[in-house]
Amino acid sequence: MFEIKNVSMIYDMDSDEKMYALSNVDLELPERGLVGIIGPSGSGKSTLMYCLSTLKKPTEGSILYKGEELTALTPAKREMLRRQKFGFIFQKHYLVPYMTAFDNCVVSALPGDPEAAERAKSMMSRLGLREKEFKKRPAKLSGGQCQRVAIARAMINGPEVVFADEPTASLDHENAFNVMRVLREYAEEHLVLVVTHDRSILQDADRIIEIWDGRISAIKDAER
Amino acid sequence: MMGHLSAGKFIKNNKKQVAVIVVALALSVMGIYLIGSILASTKESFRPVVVEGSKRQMYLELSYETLASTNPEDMETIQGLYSVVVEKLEQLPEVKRAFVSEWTNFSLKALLGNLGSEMPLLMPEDIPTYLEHMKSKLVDGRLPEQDYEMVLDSAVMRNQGYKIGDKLGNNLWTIVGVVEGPYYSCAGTSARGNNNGYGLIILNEEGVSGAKELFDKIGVPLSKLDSISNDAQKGSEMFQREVVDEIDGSLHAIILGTIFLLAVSVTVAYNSYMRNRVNEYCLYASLGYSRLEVYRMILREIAILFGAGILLGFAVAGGMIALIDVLLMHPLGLIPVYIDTELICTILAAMAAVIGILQFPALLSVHRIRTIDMLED
Repeated sequence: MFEIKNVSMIYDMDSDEKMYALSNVDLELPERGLVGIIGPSGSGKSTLMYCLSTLKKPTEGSILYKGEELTALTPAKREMLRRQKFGFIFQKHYLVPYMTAFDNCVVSALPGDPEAAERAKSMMSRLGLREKEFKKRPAKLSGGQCQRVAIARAMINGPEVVFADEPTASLDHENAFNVMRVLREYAEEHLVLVVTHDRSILQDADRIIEIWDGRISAIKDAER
Repeated sequence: MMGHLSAGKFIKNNKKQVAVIVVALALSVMGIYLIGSILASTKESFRPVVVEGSKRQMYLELSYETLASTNPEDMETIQGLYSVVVEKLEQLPEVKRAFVSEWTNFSLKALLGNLGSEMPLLMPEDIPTYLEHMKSKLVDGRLPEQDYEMVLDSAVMRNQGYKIGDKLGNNLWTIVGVVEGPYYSCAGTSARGNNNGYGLIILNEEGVSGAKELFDKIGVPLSKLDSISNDAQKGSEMFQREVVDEIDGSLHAIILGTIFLLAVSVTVAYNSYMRNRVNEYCLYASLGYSRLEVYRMILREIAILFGAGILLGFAVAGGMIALIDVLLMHPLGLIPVYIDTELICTILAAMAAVIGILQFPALLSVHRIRTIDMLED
């Protein structure tokens, strides 16, 4: 699904000492499966995810998504791709503070989708949120509950790819397990990319990509 | 609606913030409309007297030179000096009557400002002719029959708080009746046989531009020595200069001042709201909404807030005008102005200007939109 060739991301381009967030990354990702990107803080794993999801444009290299060059897309096409094909779970939940959990979930629904409301409720229930919490605003929800709303929001359109940046960071063990179970199920038919530094949540991953200092240091496929 | 950035959600879920802006807008609209309406009521209340009434009557004093130029037989008395002019004027089809007489003034006060206008002092037998010409009818009391009696229009009576029997003008005149007509006309008598007036009162049909037109027709050209106290032209000019221009000048200053303060306060408030919502806008951008969609949402929010504020403002202003009408205007015999199309258009234009000013912080906010990754960096 993704073909990444020689991708580099350089910060401080104008300074004498260039900072490579990513350096000559080559990678291929399948159409479905749970793929973990793991590495220490500052290793470039989030940057790689942002480049794949069109939120960042790499300094060099090529990223093909289903044969289409992402780095050459117009802003409007990038927006359309993010809207229709990708789902996002950010490190912080980034819920809109004045909206209810339900409204936060459906805010990313596609126009004219009559089943979005039902799907949002079903998704939130599967993630362990109770119905009475659907009407609560983020300030009245725990950090874990907010994160689960954000996860439901990411999956409401049934995206082809879910990009998850530390999706279980603010969850307790039980809820983290529950979230990973949902992502695992989703990965049966779609591609789920999970960026984390917690190897334990990637036990069921189909592939684990290790990043170190902006370079891929190892790729391990699960034996199934 | 799902799948679109809804303006309603922010409004529905931020009632206090929204209420502050809506109330500020409503108060501004109400304030401007209320003041404008009171000023318009002053104009409308003065117009029948100054403009419309002046189209049907003239008050002027001719110089000795002008009168002598007509070669009257009797050059010793005022009546004699005016006799040729009066005779010629009354032969014109547009002149109903001309009286050599004196006049006094009656006052009319509005909520803002006062007005004085002429009131003829005629022989008792001439008063019905005058009132009929001015389309006034006796509604209470009687017409003047003796010296120093007068009838006043019911609006003037209410306006000044008079009642029949009251004494006016150093207790010289007595109000003996109330008349009602479209021009608030009033009339009185002076001392019979002792009329000291040096003036000429002409009752003319509407359509005459002024005294000059009539005197040109009778071949007695007016000179700078002649003094026209009131005619259609003078009334119209006076109304424009002393009522319309004064009121409109004040109103425009009030509107400008209010709109300036409103624009500054709403811009500051809205800028603050938008700054607090940067993460929200960035989230939308990350989820794939375009800047244009975010901008449209901001515009819809502004439109709803302004729509609500303007409607509320007009509604409250309407209620306030009704209250002022009952408590102040009706007792003063003034004409209330509930719907002033020009003022409504001015307010809407002013609000559109404020919305235009709000585009600067709105566009600035949209320009600042980044995606979430930039916030996290």
